[in-house]
Amino acid sequence: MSTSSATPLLQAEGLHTYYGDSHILRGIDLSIEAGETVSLMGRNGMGKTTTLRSLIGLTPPRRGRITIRGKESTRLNTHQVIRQGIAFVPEDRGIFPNLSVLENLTMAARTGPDGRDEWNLDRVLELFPRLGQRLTNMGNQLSGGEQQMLTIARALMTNPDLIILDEATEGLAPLIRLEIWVVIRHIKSTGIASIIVDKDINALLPICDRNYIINKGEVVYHGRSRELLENPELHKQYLGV
Amino acid sequence: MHTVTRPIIIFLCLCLALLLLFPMVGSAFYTGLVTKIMILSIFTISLDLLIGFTGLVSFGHAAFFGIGAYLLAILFGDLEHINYWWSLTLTLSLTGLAALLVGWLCIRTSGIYFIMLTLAFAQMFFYFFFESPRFGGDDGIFMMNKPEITLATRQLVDLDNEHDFYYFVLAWLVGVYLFLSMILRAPFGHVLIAIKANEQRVRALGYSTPHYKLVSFVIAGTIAGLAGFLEAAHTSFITPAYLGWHESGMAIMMVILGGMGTLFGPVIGTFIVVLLQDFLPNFTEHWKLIMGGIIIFVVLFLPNGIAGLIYSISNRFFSRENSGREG
Repeated sequence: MSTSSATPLLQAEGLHTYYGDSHILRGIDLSIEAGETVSLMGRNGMGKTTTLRSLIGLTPPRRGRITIRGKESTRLNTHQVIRQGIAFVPEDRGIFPNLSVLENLTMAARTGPDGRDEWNLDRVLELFPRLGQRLTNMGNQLSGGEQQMLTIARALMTNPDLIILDEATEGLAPLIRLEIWVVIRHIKSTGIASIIVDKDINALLPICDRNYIINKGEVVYHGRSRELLENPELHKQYLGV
Repeated sequence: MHTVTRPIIIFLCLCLALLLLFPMVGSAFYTGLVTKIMILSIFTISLDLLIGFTGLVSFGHAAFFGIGAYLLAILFGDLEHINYWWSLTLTLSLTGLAALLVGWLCIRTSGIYFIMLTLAFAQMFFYFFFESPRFGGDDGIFMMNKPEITLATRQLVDLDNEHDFYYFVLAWLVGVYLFLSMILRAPFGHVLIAIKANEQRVRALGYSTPHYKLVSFVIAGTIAGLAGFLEAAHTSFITPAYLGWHESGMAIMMVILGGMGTLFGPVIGTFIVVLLQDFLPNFTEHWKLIMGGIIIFVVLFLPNGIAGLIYSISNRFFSRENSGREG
């Protein structure tokens, strides 16, 4: 992680994003340091996924500024943002059903922006041994849990500095969810920064260093996990729990 | 569905053996017909790269077939001795350049707009040749001689000989099939296949998808140009109809009928359509109605085309190998 402590790995300032005429994000500010794990929380439809999509250029903001390691990236295309060491695990899992598990993994393989190649096929399969048994299966022949593992494994194959996980445990069986959380903790332990969107606050808060709560397209709370854990009013007000 | 299982390889080898033996038993007419079908198969295989693997439905692919044919006739048609190597190199280079220019503009669009733009370009080329008396206008253009395939003054293949021409085209068909199979097994091919599944996801993996689509478009256009080159060399007569939307539409039909995303499916589709066009008029003047019915049947009941049916049969009876790749 080559980013200096003074410069955030990724920073967003005053993001305003629209879908057509609908004003979705209304001035989102957030930042993440190298190796840090942060969460984006909020009720459904508040702009969490749109924020993630704006960060990587899939839904570019109309106004605001995004920088990666201090360099302007607001108007970059998605693939250019991703090539700067950012991996995205989308909400819909995003595996390619018409490629085998092995092809899904190898097509993503590349060194990180600083030439790191810690995450290769062997290491990824060590983390997800189940995928090792399914290498020749097509993507559409995997269970939901296996698809999610494949998506995370594929993201790791890009040797990212930052991994963005959108609802990574959504719709999975409880045991599989536990497995995914173990993997997310492992990713954190390797020094890769993460932005995580997930509804499972009990699993999320102990992992995250900082948390953002988004309500109606604005950041309404930003703080450390301990503060959030000690403030049940915030849970009720913005998270509905 | 382009995973080629062992039974499919055996099936393809049997088909190849039949094609190798055919000129020995077939009449001169049918040898010529099968030559024409194999040339069209090269054209439809190239279209499968776009439709079946990259997800780009081009309704103007015949433009490159026609451009390849016209280039050979215009640049070399009046020569007494046409050097095969030079004529092929120049024809394919210029067709590839045309595909690059057209593709560069078309890949900026998607869906219905891509279809309309490719159709518009093809019609532009069609009317250019149709309204150019210099290039024969709507009457078309004749070639005086066929290319001569020589190496150090020794003739390798006599294209005036129908049998030689047949095997020459068969070699090209096999070569194009193997070339595209190799491309699709490489990481580049995996990106194309992934683009067809979900382009946005591919961008989110760090790939500049327009570049990949453009390369796919140029490869497909150049191979279509090769088919046009072979057709011009075969018939020595080129008309603007080669570039028309009707040819593009027929090619799409052959790809769908045979099975998209399989490479060998379009070859089967081409054989079926051309042979039906040849046989059905013997029985009824309303043969196009029957042909339409067959196509409707295949689309409704065999969504993966004839190749999909072959995959199903091979999986059921011969093997449990994985062939779940969807076209």
